[in-house]
Amino acid sequence: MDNKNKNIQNQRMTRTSTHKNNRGQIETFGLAFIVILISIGFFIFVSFKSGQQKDNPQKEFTNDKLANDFVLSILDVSVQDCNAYTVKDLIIDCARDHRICCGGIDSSCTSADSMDSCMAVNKSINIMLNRTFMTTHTKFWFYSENLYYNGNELLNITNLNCTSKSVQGQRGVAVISLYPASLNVYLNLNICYQ
Amino acid sequence: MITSHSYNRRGQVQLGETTAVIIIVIILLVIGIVFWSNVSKSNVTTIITQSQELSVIEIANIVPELTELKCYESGVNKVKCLDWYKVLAMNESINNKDDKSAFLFYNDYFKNSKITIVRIYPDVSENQNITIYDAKLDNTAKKLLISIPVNIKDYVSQKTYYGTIIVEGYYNG
Repeated sequence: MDNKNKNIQNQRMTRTSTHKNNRGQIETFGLAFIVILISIGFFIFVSFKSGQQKDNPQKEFTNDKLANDFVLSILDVSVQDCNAYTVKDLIIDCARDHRICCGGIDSSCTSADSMDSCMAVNKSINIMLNRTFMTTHTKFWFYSENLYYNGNELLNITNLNCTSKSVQGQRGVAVISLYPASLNVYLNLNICYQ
Repeated sequence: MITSHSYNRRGQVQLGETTAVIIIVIILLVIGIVFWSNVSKSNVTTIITQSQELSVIEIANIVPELTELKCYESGVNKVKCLDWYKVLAMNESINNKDDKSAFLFYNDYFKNSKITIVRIYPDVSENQNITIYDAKLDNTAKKLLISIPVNIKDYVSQKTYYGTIIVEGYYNG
């Protein structure tokens, strides 16, 4: 009778021990799974962080300097076929007086080889933009405010589809006073990121 | 006897588990260290490249501010304006083959770079690029090109030109 009881007790102990072992193995695998998941997550996070775009001092400097220096530099430049005047003089004349005529000998500015101040400004700025930015494939949007010609803004030049909806970089603005008229003309240059 | 045998087997299984866990932890640590060292290495490379780029930017900032090149009107210097005849004079003295003293003097400022002044508008028919300084490094070095718009004043013809200062900085990347 005693032996029979001992056997039953032994069988119960073995069954409980096997059950506990199985549960222990499942828990270990679960823990290992979690550790592996955390490790993979960590690696992905570090890879993502290191792959992110870092500061580019050259790009920042170029965008910062180029836009501002360009709009400020072009104002004092002598205009071809109109050497007595600068771009700024012609902008003021285009916005306010309409007296200056460039090129040609016809003072009424009607001959084929002459042009008024607005056309001279448009031509000269286009040449400078072309030789500075288009050769280097820089995205830009150059536009004027309060400088009207035949009812439209005189200058609205874009390169490589840079518009107000593009990712904007640095912006350069030149303010030209039309004193005694109470208006300012603004020349804006926006450099867009590639 | 049965209980003792079962305990022995359980002990062996636990020893195996511990060993496996230790091996996995070591493998994870090794992978982590290798990964981290790679990330750190790429970060250090980026920092070195950035500092070299900054030194080129520094040169680009120096050039338009040099008194030897700036325009003066009534004793007051003009911002972002170069005197064309000063540019010509500087070009002559730095690129003098018989006397290298000017080149060596400006080498402290311009280091490993090439500096070119370009007249763009108006009267662009002539070739109006002047390389005032060239360290003449080989083409294997990396190059950073910076272009700065300026005015270039010709006091003889009384014309103001639009131009650019092109700084090409060489560095080992």
